[in-house]
Parts: sequence; C-alpha cells; structure tokens
Amino acid sequence: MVLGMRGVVIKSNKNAKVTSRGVEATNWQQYKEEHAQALRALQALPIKSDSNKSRG
Amino acid sequence: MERIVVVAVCGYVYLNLRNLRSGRYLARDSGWELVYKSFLYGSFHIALAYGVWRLIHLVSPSFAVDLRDCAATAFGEENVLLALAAGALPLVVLTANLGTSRLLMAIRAAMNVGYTDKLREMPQRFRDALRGENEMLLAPSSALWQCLYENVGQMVLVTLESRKVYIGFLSQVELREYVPFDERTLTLILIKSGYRNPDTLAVEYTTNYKDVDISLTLFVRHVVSLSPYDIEADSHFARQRS
Repeated sequence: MVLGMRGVVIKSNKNAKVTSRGVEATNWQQYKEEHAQALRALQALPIKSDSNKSRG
Repeated sequence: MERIVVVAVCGYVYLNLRNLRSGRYLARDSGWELVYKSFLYGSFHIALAYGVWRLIHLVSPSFAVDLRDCAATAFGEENVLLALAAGALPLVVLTANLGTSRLLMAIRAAMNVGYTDKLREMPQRFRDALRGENEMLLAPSSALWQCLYENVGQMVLVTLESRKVYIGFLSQVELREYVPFDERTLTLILIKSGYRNPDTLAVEYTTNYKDVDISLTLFVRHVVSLSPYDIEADSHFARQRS
C-alpha cells in the first residue's frame, strides 16, 4: 500500500512503469503466456452474428 | 517603449530556443499566452543579467563599468526595474487565467525537468509510487485515477459514452499531473469488443481480436465506466441470462 501525495491510499502496482507516455504496463507478453487459456476461453464466448459488418 | 520591446524580444527568443531544443516545437505557445510568457521570461533573464552584472561589479568594479558601457541600453539600472514591473503583470494575468493551483503546478512541472535528483531525497513510500526515471507522476487523487493506476497490466472492461464496450489489457494510462484532463489517454490491447444493448444495457459482443495485438488509444474523458474484468464472473452472468 502506498500513501499518495493527497492522502489517497493506493496499492502499488508492480506491473506499472512511468515512461514518457504516462504509466505503462511491462507485462503484456508474460500476461499473454500465463493467461493463454483464459484468453482463448474469453474469445470463444458467443458473439453476435452480424458482427463484422460494424467492425472498425 | 523600446525598452519594453527589448524585454519581449529577449523572452521570445528564449522561449523559441527552448522549444526547438527540447523537441516541444509542436506544443509551442501562441496568442496571448506567448505574449505573457515572453514578458515573463524576458524580465527574468534581464533581472538575471542585472544580478550577474552586480556580482561582477562587486568583484571588479572597473570591468563592470566597461561592461555597462558595452551593454548600456539593454542592461541599465532603470531598465531592470522596468523589466521587473513588466514581469509582474503577466504573472498576475496568468494567475487569474489558470488559477493559482494550475500555475503552481505548471511551475512545479517546469522545475521537475531534473526530477531524478529529487526522487533520491523522497521518502521510500513515494518512490514506490513514482517508480519513474525523469517524469513526474503524482499518485492518483480520485477513485477513477486510483482504479486506472491499480489496473495497469490487468484485463479491464471499458464502457464509452457511445455505449461501445471494450475488453482488453490496460497497457498505458496517462497520469502525469501536468497533462490536462482532456488530453489524458489510456491504451488497451484489445481482446473483445461490443456494445451495450440500448434497452437492457447488457453487453453484447460483436468482435473477437484473436491472435492479433491491436492496441487502441482512447481519451479518458470519453470513458463512462471502467472495471477490472473477471472472465469467470462474466460467464456466470452470461449463464444467468440464458
């Protein structure tokens, strides 16, 4: 836990790094490998059939 | 009159050199802000020059008098007073325009260019929060920023004002305090997207982003709600509905 400068208590985030773009995640590849199964399951959930017409 | 012009030109040249050097050229000032800042920086540098001149005067009066003869018009004693007066005006106007807190913030941001040195002096708990090299990050001050910060590197579900819904990996969020709220962005690596049904507001998915890393950058101001995404909870609700 970290006490923010305005007295707000926040959890410190080990995956976050401050860069010139703000706060960036450093763990995408790792996350993808660790949660490969869950991500596949998520993308296997049914979607509406007329999906790709409105894509973009 | 020409003395005021000297101040303005001095500040203008300084501002432009600084913008060119630091790659901020596209974010350069314009309009009245440029005028105010020209006077502000111009008067600051002329006051600085006057200070240096006084120092030289202390060390070697004769050399200083020679210098004064060389720079008779620009750095004379009366001109410095004038420059200080010209500097106070834009400061007042800037304060009125930006509000004191934003002005202080801007000054603090300007002073934080060499932030790494200051970071060393900070207590450990701040360093944990500000794990950065040379950018200033203030810890989130509201629940939204807190939620954004804590979910960097996690799956999130984002609903936009247009009822569009994105599920993705939160890969970037702008939290540096000197970036205005309207310009703050967040980036998702998309997993799924869809929309909220106008009648029930339940999420209906329309697109899967299989095996591709598509990143999408959004303005935080368009976000209506953001929550950490839990696939098990989602399939539980999906079962409930069907």
